[in-house]
Order: sequence, then structure tokens, then C-alpha cells
Amino acid sequence: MRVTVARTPVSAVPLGPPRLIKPLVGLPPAAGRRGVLCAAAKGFLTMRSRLLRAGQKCRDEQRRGSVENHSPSPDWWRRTSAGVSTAAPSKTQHFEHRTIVTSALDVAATKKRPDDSGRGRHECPRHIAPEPRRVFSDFGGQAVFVLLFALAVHAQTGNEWPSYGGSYSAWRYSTLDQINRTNVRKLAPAWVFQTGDYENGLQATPIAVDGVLYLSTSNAWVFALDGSTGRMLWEYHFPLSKSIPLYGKQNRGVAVGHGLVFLGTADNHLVALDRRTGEEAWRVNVEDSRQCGCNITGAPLVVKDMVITGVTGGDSAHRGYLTAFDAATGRLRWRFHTIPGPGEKGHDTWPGESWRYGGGATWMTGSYDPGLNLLYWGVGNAAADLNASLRRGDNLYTGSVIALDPDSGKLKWHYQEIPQDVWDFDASYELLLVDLPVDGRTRKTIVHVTKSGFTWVLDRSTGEFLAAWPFVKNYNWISGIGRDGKLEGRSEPESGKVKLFCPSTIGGKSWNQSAYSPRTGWVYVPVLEICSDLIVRDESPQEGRGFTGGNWVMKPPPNGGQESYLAAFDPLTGKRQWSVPATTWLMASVLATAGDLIFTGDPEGNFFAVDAHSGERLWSFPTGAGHRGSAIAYSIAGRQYIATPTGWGSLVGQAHAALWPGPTPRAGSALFVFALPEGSR
Amino acid sequence: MKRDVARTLVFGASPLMGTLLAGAQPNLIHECRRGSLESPSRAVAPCGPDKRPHESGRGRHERLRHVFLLLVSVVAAFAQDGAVERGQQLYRTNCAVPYCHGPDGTAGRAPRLIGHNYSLNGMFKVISWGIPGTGMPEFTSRLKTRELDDLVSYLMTLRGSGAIPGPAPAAPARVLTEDVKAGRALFFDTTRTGNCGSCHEFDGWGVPVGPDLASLPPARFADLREVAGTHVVTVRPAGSEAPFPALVAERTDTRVRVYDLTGPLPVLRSFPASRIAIESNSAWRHAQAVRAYSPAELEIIARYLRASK
Repeated sequence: MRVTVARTPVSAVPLGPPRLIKPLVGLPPAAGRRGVLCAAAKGFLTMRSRLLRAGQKCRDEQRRGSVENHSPSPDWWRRTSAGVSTAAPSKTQHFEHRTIVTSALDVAATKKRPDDSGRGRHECPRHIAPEPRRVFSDFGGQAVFVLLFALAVHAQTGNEWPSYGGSYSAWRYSTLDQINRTNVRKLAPAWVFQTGDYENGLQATPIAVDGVLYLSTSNAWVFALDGSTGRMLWEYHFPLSKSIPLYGKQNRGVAVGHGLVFLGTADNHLVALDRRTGEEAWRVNVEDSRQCGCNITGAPLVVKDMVITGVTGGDSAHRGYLTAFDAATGRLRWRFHTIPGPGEKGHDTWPGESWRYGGGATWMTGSYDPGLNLLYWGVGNAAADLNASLRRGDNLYTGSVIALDPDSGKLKWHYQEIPQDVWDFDASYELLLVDLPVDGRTRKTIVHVTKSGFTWVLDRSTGEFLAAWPFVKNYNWISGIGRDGKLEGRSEPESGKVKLFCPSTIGGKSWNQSAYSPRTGWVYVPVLEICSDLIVRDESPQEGRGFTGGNWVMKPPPNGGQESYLAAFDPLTGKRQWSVPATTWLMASVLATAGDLIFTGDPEGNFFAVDAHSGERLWSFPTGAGHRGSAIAYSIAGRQYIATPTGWGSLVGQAHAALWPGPTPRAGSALFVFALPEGSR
Repeated sequence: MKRDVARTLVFGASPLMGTLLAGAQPNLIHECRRGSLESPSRAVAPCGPDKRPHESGRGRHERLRHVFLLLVSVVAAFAQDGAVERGQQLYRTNCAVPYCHGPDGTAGRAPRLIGHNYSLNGMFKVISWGIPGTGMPEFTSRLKTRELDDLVSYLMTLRGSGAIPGPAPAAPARVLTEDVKAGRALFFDTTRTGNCGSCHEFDGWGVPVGPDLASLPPARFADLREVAGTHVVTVRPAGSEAPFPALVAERTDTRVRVYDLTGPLPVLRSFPASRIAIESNSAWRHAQAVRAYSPAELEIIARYLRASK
């Protein structure tokens, strides 16, 4: 398949009411000055250093000129899509799957704006070549300028962080730019909140709505905190039962909407709390966790007048499902089983009784496109994880992306990435809803960075396969993915043998989330280059009990090079733009901001920011405990904050010491909140 | 290398030293695998071919004590070489990650290892050969001998007298007739959202909302559609919400908590006492709750309930 990537001239800086941003020293915001600089850049295209310098100034110019609409919306969940795309193809780029060949591009550093409305005849490019020093050698040489711009209103976060992935589009991108590459060095703690729950660390994404942060912990405690001071407004402790399924106590966050805070618990309850008081409004036992062996570790998602939650259970003899409840009353609205039952389409992909115990967990949080009115969810691996002897067939809808009508819970389309999975490669991770120019036209896509080390790009209206590319260097479970999306050269675990597979069962990345920045058009992924020995064993399913069909042991890649790094990729071609190595591994989510900063934390306790364009490390702060959670950005009274949970934990986090020399990451359970010091903004 | 020296010191030293060491530092003991060690505080492993009879006599003991103290300090120094730490790392990748024995032995789907009372010998055997017919695989082909040593060193630090290793808690393992099996399967049938188990706890599973079936006489399980719902009330919330059938879970002066029985999954809802009115009768019938089942299926379930009394 040839996919044409249109590079878009940068014409659309989202406009909105102006905001006061202090002028940068020595750079008066004169249009003439900008024109001169950009003309200079244009004239010396081949002189990288000049270009970079000019580019930096252009970006600074742009930042000052860039104003975005940050108006908070109390009913953000009702927002409809007003997907704005300003794509106007100018250059094309071709690539082949598996051997991605990206032509060197001679992008003009400046473009005329087609609808120039008096802001100066020349525009600075949105994307400037990255600093070459952090670019891997295989991608060295001429850096590729990929100019993609697709900004949908519903993908914006503004002053708030209303949903797990920031917005329904799950970009983990904040439109706030008060903290940016120029001033991030001054970033300092504003306040810290200690939850006191140290079990399994703090894995949540805080939710920021109306100046209040809502934070959950592994033991199902919820805190409401004043976002500017950290003062606790209320706390709630759910009375967890003693029987917790093998997925353990983990909690990745709450959802907020309709005046309620929604929490999933480690014993499989969904709870609604009054947003103002923390008093419980309702709770429902989604299914007895002793029976299903499943629980809720992911954050729920509020869609329309419903709250939707998945469950774990993909490594148990369990049949996965997604459940929608009435947000106000907690009453069941619908349940969608990820494995079709008798008489349903796709049931014949499961022989015998295997469908009853086939896994297909929905343990992470989905995305929603209000314009298409489609709810997207990633479905986990088939069970038994490593042993398909009882389930020969495609095993729908495991290893798939499903699109549901949120009103009825009916399936609209599905795309199965991995039929008959035998590597424990869930397709559960984040679904980034990004509009990308493909073959000269803008397509509404899903960019799906998955456990298998591959990223799939699908049309989110139809489920059509558009592209797939590896984001890890080490993969051997397949040789590649065909132009039709078919897996090629499958290599499977074998009974009686110990075989090394890459990536590991932890994944090419763990569940912690990637981020997408519409300003660079790149997706930022915390990559793991780790493999595992897979040992197949025959197991018979016992409802609700573990059902892995084998065992796995973490190992370094065959030729060494066990590593982890933060990397920026073109979402369609997979072209790696830069990467920054970690000391050990990166197991925290990534945050992108309009200040062209990428934030994440490491197990050593450092919370740091890199330049979104170059990967250059600009700022770091030692928080004292390992990072396994997800940072957010929000703004109160004109002051931007960056909040990150700290505290090492989680099931796979326990494997740290076995994989990496040096001290074990520190436990903890604190929310660190940073801002620019008063007076320095 | 250091570690090998330490091992030689321990393994090759007199049995008495082994005894003393075992009593003093059970966590650091490296026993001879061929020996049998019932309890660290007692038995001595017959290590190596140079098995010597116990020596006796006060002076000999004195001398041995000095030698022992000297050796203890040497061993203690060498024992810091990290066998336990390495074993812990091996544990984390081999035994904990795939949900088996859980973090630090706290149990997943396999037995809890904190406080286990395996002997050193038994532990070696189980890890080396596995337990056929269970989920416990053999590790002889996967771990080097040294790694096995390290792993066992770590696992012996979890030893205690509390938990007895055995299968993790499971659904009741009693022998069920086909009829009872069928009834149980229907009672907890997950293909029906709103099965019996979503309102009743029974036989170790289910959500305890409705009456405790175990406390009811078998005669009550006749036609399950005709069960009287005498405890069901009608809740009238203030505002526009329609009245709904419910079970009262908790009532204080300020708050009322009720199970909303409207849908197939009961919802425990909480209201300020002033925002709710409760009427003691309801149009709710158990026939609604069991509408997911056919009369024939309900009869099978009833037989299961009667047989389980």
C-alpha cells in the first residue's frame, strides 16, 4: 500500500481571545522582524544550524502570536466535534510497510498562507528540524519535516483536564503554553499532596475540573484538592472487600461529569460520589469479583448521560465486557461482551466452550468521537494467553479495536489487529483520535500504540486499515505487517520449548499512555526494548481463575540492548524523529503541551521536560519516588500548573530489580504540582 | 567467587555449625540439598561424604563455639554477597509476574508463600520438578543450578509457621451431581446479565443484596417466580425521578441507602433522608428478577438450591 502523506503548510494557529504573555527579551514582536528572520531561514535551507536558530526564533514568534481558546466548559462531555482541519497538501511522502522508506524532503521553511489575512506575507513553519544530536543514526542525515496539522475542538483540554486522556481524543495534550521551552527552567513545586496510600504507588491520571483536582489511589481512596493550593476539600475511602482478584489493587483514575466523580474499584465496584461533598451517590457491583476473577483498574469514561467502564480479566478464564451505566442512577444501560455468544456474529471464531473463558478484557480507558457518535475501546488478549490449543480460530473480538454506538452498546465496526493472539499482546492501550492527511485527503484516524510493539492506524469512521509500523527495534513475533494489515511471518510459542519473544509480555510499552501534539504532529511514546521467554503449558479453564496457558520470564533482547527511551514518531509513517534514553525504563505516561514541552517521569524519581521538537532535556525535578502515573496540565486564574502523581508500584513494576541494576524505585504516594514562581511568568 | 567460598564454609563445615547457624540465622542458611531438614531449629543436614559423628564434651564445645563464632563472622561477611537479593529478583520475574505467587509471596493464583513451611529440601524439589497436574512448572530446564540456589535462598526468608501451602482459595470443591452442576451454572450464568448471582450470595459467589438463601429452609425453593418479595419497598425520590422498587440497606436520621432493583444489577443508592419517601409495599415481583430464565431452568436452579442445603 502506498500511503501519501500530505504535509500541510502551517497556516492555522488557532485564534482566540488574546492573552497577556510577556515579550521575550530582545525579540520585539514586530511582523517585519519575523519576516526577515524567516526569509533568512528560507535562504539558508541547507545550513542546518542557521535554520535551527531561525526556527527557534520563529517558534518564539509563533508562541507569542499563538493564542488559543481556553474557555472552560462545564459541560465538556456534551461538546460536539467541530473537527477543524486546515490540511492543504503541498508535498507528498511515500512509504512502504515494514521497510519504511521516507523520502528526504526539501521543505520550504516558509510557506505562503493561502488565506493570508494581514499577519505578514510569510509564515514561520510550525515544524522545525530537530536537533540532530539525539536522532538515532539510522534516521540520521536529513531530518524530515512532517507538517501535519489536525486540530479538533473536542481534542482540546484548555484550562481543565476533564477526562482520562485529557480529552475524548486521548491525546494527553494540553493547549496551555504559559509554561514553555523558554521558561520551563524556572518551573518549581507549587504544592505537594500526600495521599497516605502507598500500596502499588500512585498510577492515576488526576482529573482537573473547575479548579479542583480529583485523585484516586490503589485502595480506592478519592481526594478532591484545591488545584491552586492543594488544600483537601474532601476524601472518600471505599471499603474494599478482602478478596481481590489477581490483577491486584491498582487504580488509574476517576471520571468526572454530571456533578459526580466515578471510581472503579479493585473488587469490581463502580462508585459515584458527589463532586462537591464526596458523599457516595451510588455504587454497583459490576460482577462478583470472586466469580469473574476480574476487577476495575482503569478509569471510567463519561459519555453523554452514561458512565462506561471496562474490566480486567484477560489473563483469567473470563469473558470480557464493557458496561454502561446511567450516570445519575447507576442503573445498567447496556453491556457489550467482547466475545460473541452463541448465535452472534463472530461466535464461530471460538471452538467449543472456549468463548466462555476467552479473555478479551477491557481494562484500559477508551475514546469517543462525538461527531461520529462512536465509542472506541481496545480489547485485550485472548485467554489462555500463550496457548491457543483450545481456541483455534480468529478469537473475535480479542486483540481488536471495537467501535460501538454509545446509545445502544451495539457494535458498529471492529478491526482485529491480532487474530488468535498467543503472545499476551492486548490491544487495550490508548486510542488517539487524530485527523491525518492520507493519500491527499484528511482522514479521521485512530492511532493505536499497542503492547505488541506496533502502532496501527485505522480509519475511525469505518475501521479500515491504513497503516501499521513498529515503534520498537526488537520484535520477532511477526516479521511484519502486510499492506492489507495481515500479520506476516508469525512465530508462536511452542509446547515443550522455551522461546524468546520480543517485545515482552509487559509490552513494547506498558499501559502508561503516549501523547500526541498537534503542534509537531508527532506521537510521543515511552518505549521498552525488553523481551520474554514464553513457556507454554496446557491448562484447563476454571471460571475466574488465572488462565495464562504458560509462564513468562523477562529477558533482554537477543543481541543485548535492553533499554527504554522516550521517542517521537510520525503517527502515520512511524518515522522516528528523536529519542531520549532512560536510565532504566519509562513506566509513566507522557504529557504534551502547547508550550512545546513533553513531560514524563522515571523510576529514579525524576520528573522532567524535554523539547517537543528535539527531545532536548530542558528541566528536571527529583520528586523522590518512582513514576508510574500520568501527569496533567491545568490552569487556574491565569496560572498554569503541571501535576504529576509519584510513587512506584504496579504488577510489572515489581520486575524492576530483575531487569535493571541499581536501587529499586521508591514507593510513595504523592501528587506533585508545579508552576512558574509568582512574578516570573 | 566469594559466594562459593561462603558455600564451602557452610556446606563443608561440621554439622553442629549447621545446627547453630540454623538456629541463629535461618534466613541465611545454605543447606546441603541431599540432606533433609524438617525444621531449621532442629535437624542437621548430613552434608557430604565426610559425615562425622557428633562430638561431645564441654571443652570441645567451648572450642567449637570459638570456631563457630569466628566462622559466623566470616560467613556473615560472605553471606552479604547477595544470594537472597538475586533470588528475590529471580522470584520477581519467574514467580511473581505471571500472577502466580504474587509480589513478595503474597499470592496471586498460586499458593501464598509468605509464612510457608516448606523444608529447604522440599522447596528445591518442588521448584526443580514442578507439581504435575497443577500450574506449578518445573524450573530445572530454565534456571541454572546457581539460580535455583539463589531463588531458594530468597524463598527461605519467607518461611514461617503460619500459612500452610496449598491451593489458593477456589470455588467449593465438593462433588456435585450433574443436576446440581447445571443448577449452579444457571445460577451464576454470566451470559445473562442479571443472573441469580447478581442479587444473591450463595455457595461462595454472588452479590449479597437479596435474602441469604443459605438460611432459608429448602421448602422455600419451589417455584422461584412466586417467591414473595416482602422486604421490597417503593422509594419516591424528591424531584422528577420516578418511584422505584428497592430494598432498604441502611437508614439513619440523615441518610438512607437503598438497593435500587429497577435494572438487572442492583444499585446501592444513597439519599439524604429528607429527599426520599419510602412506602412499605411494592408492585415488584420476583418473577421480574428471574425473567432471564425459563420455567424449566428455574426448576433446575431450585433443585440446586434444595440440594445445597
